[in-house]
Amino acid sequence: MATESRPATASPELLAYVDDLRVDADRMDGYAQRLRGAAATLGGCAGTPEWSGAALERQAVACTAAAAQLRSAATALLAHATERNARPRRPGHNHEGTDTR
Amino acid sequence: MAAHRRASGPPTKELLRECAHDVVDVAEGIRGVCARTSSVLFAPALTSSAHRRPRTGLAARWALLRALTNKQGLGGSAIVAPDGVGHLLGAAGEALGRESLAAQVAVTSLRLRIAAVLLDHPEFEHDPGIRRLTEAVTAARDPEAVRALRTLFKDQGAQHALAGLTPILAELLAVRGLLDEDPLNDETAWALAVGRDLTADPVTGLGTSRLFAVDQGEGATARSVELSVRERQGIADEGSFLGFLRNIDLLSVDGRVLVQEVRGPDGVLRYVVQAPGTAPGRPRHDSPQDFADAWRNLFMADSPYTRSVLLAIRRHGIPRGADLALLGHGEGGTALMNLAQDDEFCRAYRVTHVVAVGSPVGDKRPADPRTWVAGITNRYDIVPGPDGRGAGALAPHPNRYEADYAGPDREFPLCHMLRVYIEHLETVIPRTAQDIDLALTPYRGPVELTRVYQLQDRAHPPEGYPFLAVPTTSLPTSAGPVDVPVRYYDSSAAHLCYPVDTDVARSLLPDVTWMVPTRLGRRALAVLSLYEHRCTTIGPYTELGLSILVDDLWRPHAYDIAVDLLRRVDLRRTGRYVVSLAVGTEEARAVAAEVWGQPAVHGSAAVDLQGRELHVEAPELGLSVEGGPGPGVRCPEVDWVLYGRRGDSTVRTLVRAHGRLQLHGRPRVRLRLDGAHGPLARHLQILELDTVRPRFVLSSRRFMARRSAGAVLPR
Repeated sequence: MATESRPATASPELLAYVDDLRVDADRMDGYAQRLRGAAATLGGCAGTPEWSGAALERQAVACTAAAAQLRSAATALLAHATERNARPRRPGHNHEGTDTR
Repeated sequence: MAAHRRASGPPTKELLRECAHDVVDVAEGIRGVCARTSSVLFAPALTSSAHRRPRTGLAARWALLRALTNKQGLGGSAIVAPDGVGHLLGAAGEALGRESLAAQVAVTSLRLRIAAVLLDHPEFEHDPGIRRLTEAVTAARDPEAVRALRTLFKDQGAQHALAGLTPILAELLAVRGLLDEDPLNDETAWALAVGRDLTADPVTGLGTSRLFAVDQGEGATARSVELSVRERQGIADEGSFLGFLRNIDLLSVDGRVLVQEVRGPDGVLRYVVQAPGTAPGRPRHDSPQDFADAWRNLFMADSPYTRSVLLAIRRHGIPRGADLALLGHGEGGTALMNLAQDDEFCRAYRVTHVVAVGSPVGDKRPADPRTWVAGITNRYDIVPGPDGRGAGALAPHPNRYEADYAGPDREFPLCHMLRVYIEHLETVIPRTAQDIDLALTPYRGPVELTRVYQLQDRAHPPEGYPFLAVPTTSLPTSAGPVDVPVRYYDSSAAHLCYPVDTDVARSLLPDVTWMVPTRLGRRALAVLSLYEHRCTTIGPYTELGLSILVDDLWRPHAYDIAVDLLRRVDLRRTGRYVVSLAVGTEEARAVAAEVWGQPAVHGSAAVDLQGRELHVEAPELGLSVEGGPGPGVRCPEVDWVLYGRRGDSTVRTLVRAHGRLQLHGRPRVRLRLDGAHGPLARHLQILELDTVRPRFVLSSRRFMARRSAGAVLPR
C-alpha cells in the first residue's frame, strides 16, 4: 500500500472508514484466494462436480474485482476527507472547526 | 444432482463438505463486507461532509455505490441496509435480477454440500426436497440459481420437503440467511449453521426461566391418553433397556410420550420417561411452519417438543426429588438431553440416566454432573451428526458412554429408524445393550404404572387441517397396526387414461359375470396411475397401479359413468378395479393387500411428477414413463372409488382428494416396457399400452388425500 499523508485536521471518522474499506479490500483478495484454493483442492479429486471449478473461479474473479473497486472507493473517500485542508481559505471567512464533530 | 467423476483420486465427500463449509464462510465474509461498505455509503458523517464539499463528496459516494453495485464485483443487490434508501436500492438490484456475489457464493456452497450428500447417500437423489433444490440451484447462470432458490424458500408448498433434508438443513438455513434482505434475521440459525457459539444453544441450554415460563397460554400441551388394547399388549411390563426402546418404537407414530413407574430391585419407585422422534415422510404433530422450525425442533432447547415433554412430566405428577431416567430416539433424545441440561429441571428431579439413540447428543453436558449419559449412533445415520458437527466423539468421562458403530444399513432414512437400531443392538452391538442394561439396573424391575401423554402444539392447526382432521381407527396388518383412513399430506399423481379393447380389459377382471368394464363407445378405459406420496401416515412411498373402469356391480346401466360423475363419491356405483399395483414400501404393500384387497407387490420406483415432464423409472418392475402431459385445463377434484378382491368378496375403497387437478387433452407421454417383470408390466403388455399414447391425462402436482378402510361387499 502506498504511503499517503493524512492531515491532522481531516475527519477521523472518515479516515476510519478509509481504513475499513482497505481492510475489506484485502479481505476480498483473501476470499478470492480461498475460493481458488477450494477450486484447486476439488480439481484433482474424483467425484467433484464438473461445474465447481468454473463457478468458484468466476466468483474468485468477482472478489478480486470487488477488492479493486473497494480500494478505488477508499482512495476517493480519502481525497474527500482531506480536501478541506487543500482548499484555500477565503479571506474573512472563518469556518474552522464547524464541520468537524 | 449427480456428482460426475472426472479424475481418479481419493473419495471427495469429506473434501466437498470442507470446501462447502469454507465457501459458505467466504459468503458470510462477503456479506459482511457489503454491510460495512453500505454503512459507509449512508454514514451521516459522509452525508454531511458531502453536502459541504460536493465535488469530492459526490465522487466518493459514487465510488462506493459503484463498488456495491458493479455486476463484476460485489453484485447488483449488494447494498445491505435494513431500511431507508439503502434497503430500497438493494431491493431494486434484486428486482433487476442483479444478485449479490455473497448470495451466488452461498448457492455454490449449497451445491457442493448437496454433491457431498449424494456421494454418501445416493438414495437422496430421489428425495423430493433434494430434487426441488437441485432444480433451483442448477440453473444455467448463478443469478438465476439465486432467484430460483429465493422463490423456493418462499414457496409454502416446498417447506415440507425442505424440512426433511436433515443432512443439509444447516446449509439451507445459512443460505437462506444470506439471501434474506435483513442480515440480522435468523442469527441463531446462522450461528448453528456455521458452528459458531450461541447464546442459547443446545450445548449450554437455555436459561431456566425461559424454559420454565413457556408452559402457560398457547403453545405446547400434553394430555393424558389411553393406549389401544393392542398397544397395551406390546408395552413392556418389566424395566429393561431394549424393553424401553420397544415401547418408544410402538409410540413413534403420532407424537406421544410414555412415563413408566418402575419398582427397582432396592424397592424404590423410579420414573422412566420415553420420548420418540419423528420419522421422515410422516406428518408431524407439532406442524413446523417451515424448515427453519424443523431445525429448531431438532436442535434448540426451547423447541415445542422439549416444552411438551416437560409438560408431560409435570402432568404425570412425578414428586420432586424422584429418580428419573430419560430415554429418547432422534428428536426425542435431543429434547430429553435439553431437559437434562436445565438447572431448574435437575433441581426438581434427580436425573440419573439419559440414553439417546440416533440423537445429536455430541458433547452436551447435563446440569447434574452425576447424570449418566449414553449416546448410540449409527455412523451412517445423518440425523445425529449433520456435517459431522452433532455426533462428535464424547470426551472420556466416567458418566458418559458412547457407542458409535458402523451398521449394516447405510440407506437413509432406514438407518435412522428405531426399529433398525433395536435390531442392531440385538445383533451387531449386543455388548452395548448389555452395558446400558447394567447401568440401568436401578430401573430393572416390575412396571407399576404406564401412562401415555399426547403432545400437541395449540398455536398451530394440525397438519392437513381441516381436510385431514378426521376420526381414525387402528387395523392390524402384517406390517403392524395401521390407522385408517390412511392420510396423504403431500402427494403428486398422474393418471394416464387409455381406451382399450373391451374384451382384453374384461380378461383382466375377476372371473365373475357381474363385473364388466364400463364402455365408452366401443372401448373400455384403462388407467395407469402414477403416485409419489411424500408424506403419509404410513410413510413416504411411490405407487404405480393399473386399473379398469367398471360398471355398477349389481345393476349395470349404459352411461352409469356419466351419471356417477355428477354424484358424490360415496354414492357412486361405478369405480376402478385395481388390476395390479406396485408400491415402494412393505408397509404400503401390506395395507393395499390386506386393507384394500388390491393385488399389490413391493417394487421401488423413481417418480417425479412435479416438473413439466413426467419421469418414472422402475427398472425393478421393467417399466418407465417419460414425456410431457402438455397444456392442461383445471377440472373439478376427482374422488375415486377403487375396487379390490378379498377371497370371494369385493372390497370397495373411497379415495377423497383435495388439490388442483388438471386435464391434459394432448399428452405426449410414452410408456416403455423393458421386458415383463412381474404382474404390472405383464398386464400393461397384455393391454399393449406401450404401443399407444394415453388419450388424456389427469394430473395433480400436489394434493392431499385420505383412503378409507375397504368395505367388503357380498359380490
